[in-house]
Amino acid sequence: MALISTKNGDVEESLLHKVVSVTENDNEIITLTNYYCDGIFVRNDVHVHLKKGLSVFAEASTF
Amino acid sequence: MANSQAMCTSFKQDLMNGLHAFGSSVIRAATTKDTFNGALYLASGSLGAATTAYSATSELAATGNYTAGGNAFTTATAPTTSGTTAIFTPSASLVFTNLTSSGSFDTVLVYNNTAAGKNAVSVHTFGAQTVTAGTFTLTMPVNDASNALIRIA
Repeated sequence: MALISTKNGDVEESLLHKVVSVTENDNEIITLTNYYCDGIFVRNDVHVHLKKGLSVFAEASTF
Repeated sequence: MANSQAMCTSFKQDLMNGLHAFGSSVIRAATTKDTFNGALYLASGSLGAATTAYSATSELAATGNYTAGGNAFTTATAPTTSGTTAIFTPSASLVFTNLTSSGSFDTVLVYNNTAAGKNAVSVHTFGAQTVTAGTFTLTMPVNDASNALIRIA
């Protein structure tokens, strides 16, 4: 069984309760995974997927 | 065929590759690409268009497996063009493992870690997050003319 690193040390994955939530807007998709052991929060993972970067507009001037 | 006024697409790509200097520039030690880092900043910070360089002010504290200056981006894909837009996107996600953040953060600063001045490139924000003993992954947008992380259109 895989061990998961938590703030209380490594814990067997089967002993952890995982709660996943996903939020999305125009800028990003955020997947938040909270881990609980015996009802106590022990770890979270955050995955931010940026949808779009930034743009500079270059324009040649007229005389 | 007629002449048409335009900003040359190749020039936009050349800018990303440091081939032009209309003002005083720097002596580059090599022709190799620079290293770019992503540093994480507290939601209480004030980074934005006026940010000129990396600074530790408002950065996550160097605790909980976060290193001051952040992590290096993987840049296996060189700047290219799509239509008339020059584009660049790091080729892999920016990952911070076994992280416990010192506070709520909502910003990544992309900056040139090779440049002596640690010159800023861009500031990207997202919903504020805190991480406890976990992994923070920042996945890059699609590298195309509409979504690439950095675009000169």
